[in-house]
Amino acid sequence: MRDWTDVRRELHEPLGGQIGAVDLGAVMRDGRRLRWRRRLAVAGTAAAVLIAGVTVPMLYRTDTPPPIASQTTTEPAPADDMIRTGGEDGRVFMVERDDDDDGRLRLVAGWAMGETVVVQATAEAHDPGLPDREPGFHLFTVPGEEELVFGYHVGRAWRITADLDGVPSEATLQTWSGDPDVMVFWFAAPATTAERLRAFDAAGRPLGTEVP
Amino acid sequence: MGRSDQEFADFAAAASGRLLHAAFLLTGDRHRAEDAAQTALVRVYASWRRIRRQDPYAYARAVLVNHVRDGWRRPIREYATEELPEPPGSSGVDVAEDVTRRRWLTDALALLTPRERTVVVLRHYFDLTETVVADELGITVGAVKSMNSRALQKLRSRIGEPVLGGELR
Repeated sequence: MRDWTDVRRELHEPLGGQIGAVDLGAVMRDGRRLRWRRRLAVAGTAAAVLIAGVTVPMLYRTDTPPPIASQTTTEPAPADDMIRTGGEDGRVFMVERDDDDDGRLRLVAGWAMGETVVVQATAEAHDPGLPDREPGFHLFTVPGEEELVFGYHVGRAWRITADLDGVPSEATLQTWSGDPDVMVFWFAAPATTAERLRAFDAAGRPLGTEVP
Repeated sequence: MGRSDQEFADFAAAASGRLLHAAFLLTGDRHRAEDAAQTALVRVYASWRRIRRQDPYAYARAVLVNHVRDGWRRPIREYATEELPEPPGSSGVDVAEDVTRRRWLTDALALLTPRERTVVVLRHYFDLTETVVADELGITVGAVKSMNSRALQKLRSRIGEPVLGGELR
């Protein structure tokens, strides 16, 4: 064993009978179940939203019916609270204070087309009992689009990472103008699973605890 | 079988051998390797419609590596077997004669830390560049280089150990 050429040769040596084979039938069966569980989750969340009668206090004019049940008005979007992701679909997040809940922060998802904003839905907090300014992660889900991974982080995060479907990924961040401690984040790629969510400060030190 | 399923079946047939091989290099354990490769392909299939026009092999590789890394952080699952392991020296022949080249490599890789081992497999089995390895593991290129260098030093420490009853080159 002298150099990497030798190592490579050893690594590529056939394993022979030391290892079995993948069971393609089981792979496709389990893969369908995983896909099905995801669809059930989507359907369940959408039904829960309709039953609960979600209200969206800031709504905007649109000629295109939004995919999620909502209403429209002609109120302009407050630029300070409007966060444009820069994606091709015009995805935006809006930071709102819920007047019916002591001004609690929440996120609204939508799309911007020029000056017109289409509200998709008020995002659902993963942990509604968590105080909205509690340091750490505040994750949200858009009903019907569970693969969108986003939320806000309280605590001056400079970098946020996660494993999306097992792939290490980095979020895009934008500070909310209403509070520099509130950093809205989102991942460009949709994902079925988001694990090992971590935040780092300007020096690259981990902030708080990792969300498994 | 629909066209999409057939595409996946073709992909799995082409990729599963390398995924199993890589999983074995990462774990050194047949059962864990098979579990990791199977899990990676299940997740690829579940997301197939989204990723099939991208790079499904890179996706599968990343899921596989992440799954194995997660396993290092969790208790190792034990597999029941009716085969009892052979105690060293019980065969009555020179131990060196029982050590195959493959066993030698597995033992050599076991000298490495999990992260060094992952770097070695990504860099020298999957033939990824240092930059791509760094991206996939979320570390710097410098860290990849230093782990690569340390890994080679450790593997070199096995120089002269018996392989198939003789010296490895």
